[in-house]
Amino acid sequence: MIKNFFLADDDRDDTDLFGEALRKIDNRIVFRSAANGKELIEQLHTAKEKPEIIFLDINMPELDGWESLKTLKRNENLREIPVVMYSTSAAFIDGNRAIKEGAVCYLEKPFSFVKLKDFLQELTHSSKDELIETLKLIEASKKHNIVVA
Amino acid sequence: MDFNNERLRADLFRSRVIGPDNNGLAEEKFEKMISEVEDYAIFLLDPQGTILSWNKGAEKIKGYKASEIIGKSYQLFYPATDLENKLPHTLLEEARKNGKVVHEGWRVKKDGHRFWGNITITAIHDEQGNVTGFLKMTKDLTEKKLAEDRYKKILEELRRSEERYHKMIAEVQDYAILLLDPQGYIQNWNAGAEIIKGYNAEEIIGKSFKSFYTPGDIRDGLPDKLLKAAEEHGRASNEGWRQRKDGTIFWASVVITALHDENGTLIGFSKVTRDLTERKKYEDRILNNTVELAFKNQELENLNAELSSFAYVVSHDLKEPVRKMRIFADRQMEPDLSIEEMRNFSKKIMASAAHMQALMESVLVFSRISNENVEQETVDLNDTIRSVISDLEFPIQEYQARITSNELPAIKGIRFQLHQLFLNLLTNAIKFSKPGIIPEISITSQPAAANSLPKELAGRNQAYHHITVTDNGIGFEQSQREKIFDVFKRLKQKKDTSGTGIGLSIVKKVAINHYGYVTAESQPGEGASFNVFFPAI
Repeated sequence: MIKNFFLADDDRDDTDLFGEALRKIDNRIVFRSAANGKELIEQLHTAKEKPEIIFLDINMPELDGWESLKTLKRNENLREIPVVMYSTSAAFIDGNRAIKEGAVCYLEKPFSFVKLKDFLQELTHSSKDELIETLKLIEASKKHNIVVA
Repeated sequence: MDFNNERLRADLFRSRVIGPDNNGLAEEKFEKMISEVEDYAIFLLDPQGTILSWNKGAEKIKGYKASEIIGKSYQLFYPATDLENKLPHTLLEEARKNGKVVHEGWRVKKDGHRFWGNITITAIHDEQGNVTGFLKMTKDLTEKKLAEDRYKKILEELRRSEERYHKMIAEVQDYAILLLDPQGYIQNWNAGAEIIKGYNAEEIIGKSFKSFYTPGDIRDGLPDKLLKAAEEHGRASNEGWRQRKDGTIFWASVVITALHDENGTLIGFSKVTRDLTERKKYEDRILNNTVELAFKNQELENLNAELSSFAYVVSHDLKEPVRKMRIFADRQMEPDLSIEEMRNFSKKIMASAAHMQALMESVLVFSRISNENVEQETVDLNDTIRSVISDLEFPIQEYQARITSNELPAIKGIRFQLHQLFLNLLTNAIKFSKPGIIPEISITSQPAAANSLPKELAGRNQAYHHITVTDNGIGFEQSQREKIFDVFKRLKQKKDTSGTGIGLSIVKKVAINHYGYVTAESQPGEGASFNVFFPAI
């Protein structure tokens, strides 16, 4: 069971929606968010429990998604956490770059709250080991605009 | 008198050549000696010029044997033209009168060939002083004469060639060709020098060639350096600005060559100068064009980057509010929503729609700014600031912002674009003020110092106004000072400000459209300064 999520996104609506969806799935799920990469790194350094998956918005102030990904992957304590690049336009994200720099996959932000909830629900049902496999399956089903390289 | 007889000949000899007291044996020996002389024709003439004697030299030089010629007139030896001029007669008369005549001239041999003779005719007198005949001595100097003639001819050729050369130099119009003495004083002057430098020969000969150099070059010792280099290396060349008589300058290409005599002593310099002002101007134009081209190239690259940004904003930034509207509209259809929740979703939808509208308006402004086919006019920036402040009346009141401005220049430009530029800068300065602190914004103008120009404007031959807009707001990281001008770049969190991210891109675009530039300086919490550079009219 994945039950500890982190989203770094400067869009308050998106972090609210993400949190609400997770609460509705299971209110025991831990959800934390940061408004940019800098805050994310600061929070992770002081957190007692590391998240099991991190979603990174690409377009953020201070430290954007790419810079945050690089910082995470350079840190011994954080590099094992799976990272999903999370942004509005799939077309403008270099999927190869995401994988090359250490992200598990790239996800376009959904257009419906229900879809977001369904997708997150599937993730919560997979084990840590199955997580990447699940993301790939979701990608294969094309239901959630996921791109896995 | 029979002058043909032996006695008379002997008498003549004795009286003239040997003297009366000699005995007969000496006479005989002497006559014999004369007859054997080969290098001189020596013979006697009677007072009328009839030949009385002949020697080996005469035979050799003139080709006649004694038997053929004795008794004939000496006029046989003269060319026809001399006979016409009565030269033989004149010569005898002169010898008769003065005792002796010397003459050089062409004479004729028996075979008709000529030889150059050196002739001495000496009159012979009796005791009473009457002329009794003449002694004629002739030397064949043909070889010498021919050699002399050849030499004269060569000298003449040389003289002519030198004359031609001087004439040629004097008449050359495209080059100033002059001779300098070892100290650099001008010794001659040609037409080209007069045309190029404007002095005539009388004015400048005797003066130093330093007259052609600019005061700066003279201070740097350039003329002396060039002479020294020419002396050391044989030759020195230089290109640079030189001064004409009227003070105007021209771009000269100069070659100075050291001149030496046969002992290797320096006797002066030749100096050849060409006026390459036209070429220099052409080169400078090409250089300017190259700079201009590089600039245009940069503009194109920027435009390209801008287009990518445009595609990005359309696909990404505009997509985002649409996505949100869809999500929240979708959520409004969830069952069992409270009125509060419904209202909240509606608010979200309206905020997204408003954001989208703002974005689209910015995109429109931005594309209008991109249009270059707008007439340029003289815009007084003081008027621009006044009208911008009037536009910002409400935010200025709301934030109680204080805006001060010193005297600003008038520039060539597009009125509405300049309005937009200052509108965006002032809007930002108000919007990014520190919470609870009254925004203080100052606008100042000064001529741009060369070292304050951004690298994008450096090296252009143009004066700029440097206009600074300074605020006391939240500022930004110095590392962001270039990024902030990128299209749709927002430094602060979206929820903090209502920015679309286009404002500063528009500022930069307007500045570049006006052949200027904009830079920014700041530290977080320290306020920000925007430096706008515009070409001075």
